[in-house]
Amino acid sequence: MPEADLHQLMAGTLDAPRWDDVASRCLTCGNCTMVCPTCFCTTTEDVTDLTGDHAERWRLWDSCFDLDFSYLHAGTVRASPRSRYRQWLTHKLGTWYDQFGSSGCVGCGRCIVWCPVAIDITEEAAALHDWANRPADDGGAPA
Amino acid sequence: MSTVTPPLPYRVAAARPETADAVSLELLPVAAALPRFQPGQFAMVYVFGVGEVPISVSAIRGSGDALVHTVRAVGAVSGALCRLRPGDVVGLRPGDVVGLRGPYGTGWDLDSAAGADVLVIAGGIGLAPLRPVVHHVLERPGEHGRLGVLVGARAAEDLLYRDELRRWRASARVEVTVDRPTPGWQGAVGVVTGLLDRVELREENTCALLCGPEVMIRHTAQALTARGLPAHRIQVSLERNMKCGTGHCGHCQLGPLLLCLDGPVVDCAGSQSLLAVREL
Amino acid sequence: MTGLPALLGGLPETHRDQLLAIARDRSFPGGERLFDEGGAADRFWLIRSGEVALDLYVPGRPPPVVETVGPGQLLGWSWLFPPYRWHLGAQALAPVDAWEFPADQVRAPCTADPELGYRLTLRCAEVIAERLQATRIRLLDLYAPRTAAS
Repeated sequence: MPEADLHQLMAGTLDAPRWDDVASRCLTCGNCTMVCPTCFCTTTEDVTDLTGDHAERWRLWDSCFDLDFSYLHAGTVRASPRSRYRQWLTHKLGTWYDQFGSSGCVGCGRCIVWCPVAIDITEEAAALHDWANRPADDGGAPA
Repeated sequence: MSTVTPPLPYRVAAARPETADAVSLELLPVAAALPRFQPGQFAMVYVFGVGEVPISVSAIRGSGDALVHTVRAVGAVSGALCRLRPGDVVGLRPGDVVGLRGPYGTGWDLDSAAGADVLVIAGGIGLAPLRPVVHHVLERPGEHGRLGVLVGARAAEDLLYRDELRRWRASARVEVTVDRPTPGWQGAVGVVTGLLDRVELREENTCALLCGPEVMIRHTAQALTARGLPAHRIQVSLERNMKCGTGHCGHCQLGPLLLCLDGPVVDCAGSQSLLAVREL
Repeated sequence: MTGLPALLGGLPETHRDQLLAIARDRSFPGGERLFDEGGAADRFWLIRSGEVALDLYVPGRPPPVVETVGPGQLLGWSWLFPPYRWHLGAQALAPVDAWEFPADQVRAPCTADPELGYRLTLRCAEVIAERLQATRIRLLDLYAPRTAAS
């Protein structure tokens, strides 16, 4: 991980071009969320028998990489892979501090091991750090 | 720690169609009642076997046990809650039982509005979570400054609470505008921000409360800021997917916010920059 | 009306007074037509109370209302640009009280004093931009019944 305040880094790089780069590789398969020891997101499934007299609710693991995860009557808020990868990484390394007062990453490396396209969150964080600290005259805009 | 909060059974005491696709359900506890709801808070409303959806309270009646939820049929669960026409097969009838959990979320911060002018701005179904604010202010004469209610709707027949809007005029400045005038409509035509020119805004002592589609919220907040109202005096009620209502399922995140705990009501100072990020 | 109309609010006091000196008080009963599409745009109004509907002539049906203008708002900007012809029609929905400004008496000092002309034009442009933005938002039909594809 880069030697930086990751909380600040994540909050300040939401529009970084690096997200497009990682989104071009990410399959949004959700493997990282399945193996991450701190991922806690769940969904609920309702079942009923044919008579309708008996109903059950089952809590199931969910993943922020699923399109339905952010579904809001007739539309998915995070429709692009870019936004879903960004949600996963910024939550883990950034907004976790806002919500729980610590990092959401324990450093176990499982998400790196299980990623089918070898995305490494430490590399992504470092790339964001590099972009955030790029020379002032290299704004990425055409001259 | 168990994260499971079982819903309490509530009986539908009355189901009143408000518009072609929205119904107000008055719910009474079958046995034990939930703790008292504050204006702006929501309940998870469970239709047995279909699912659970977050719905803000649109009225808190009696000693607080009777809750009204105004529901617009937009999906499977909200559709199952709304019996829009007498012959409809789906939808709840008086006597039916739903499950209710709550109260959840932040309410409108009405304490900070003490002594100040209260400006309620609603678009479409967004008037539902704001109706308890109007009730709250009208029931406490002298505690606030002037009350303004600005409402935008698609057309006259899509207006919620038409009888009440008329009654509110006795003690509040009520302005209604529609996108599409139908024959006979004698009121304003245009978006709700157009109504802002018509009310005097004491920017140093006004608290604005907004609810509606996110585009409407963004533009109205911008218009209010342009008129000199500080962002922390603008409260907005936001919407994201919610499964649990208790901050455990992770669905309702908007950046750092878990909207079921930190919202749905947030102030603009903290949320304006988040709303500006696409697909956050 | 509530305070000064937005159009005047942004002007320096001298310019504001200069314009208000030109204005005359006008009242229109509900139902009266203020102007019609194609007519000479030789004046404009700042509405103090009441509501004015902007409409278009469509043969065989009552004129559809595209927008209304109410207290605190500017009614009419066709007087700003040649050929000074109204683009829409206007009818008072309810009794209207307004300041009426004869266009030639406003245009003349604007030509003579470019600073006044610039500031007033800028304020008008701001009002026009606000209405354009509002119209675009309305085009989204935000409150329409939702369908899976929308």
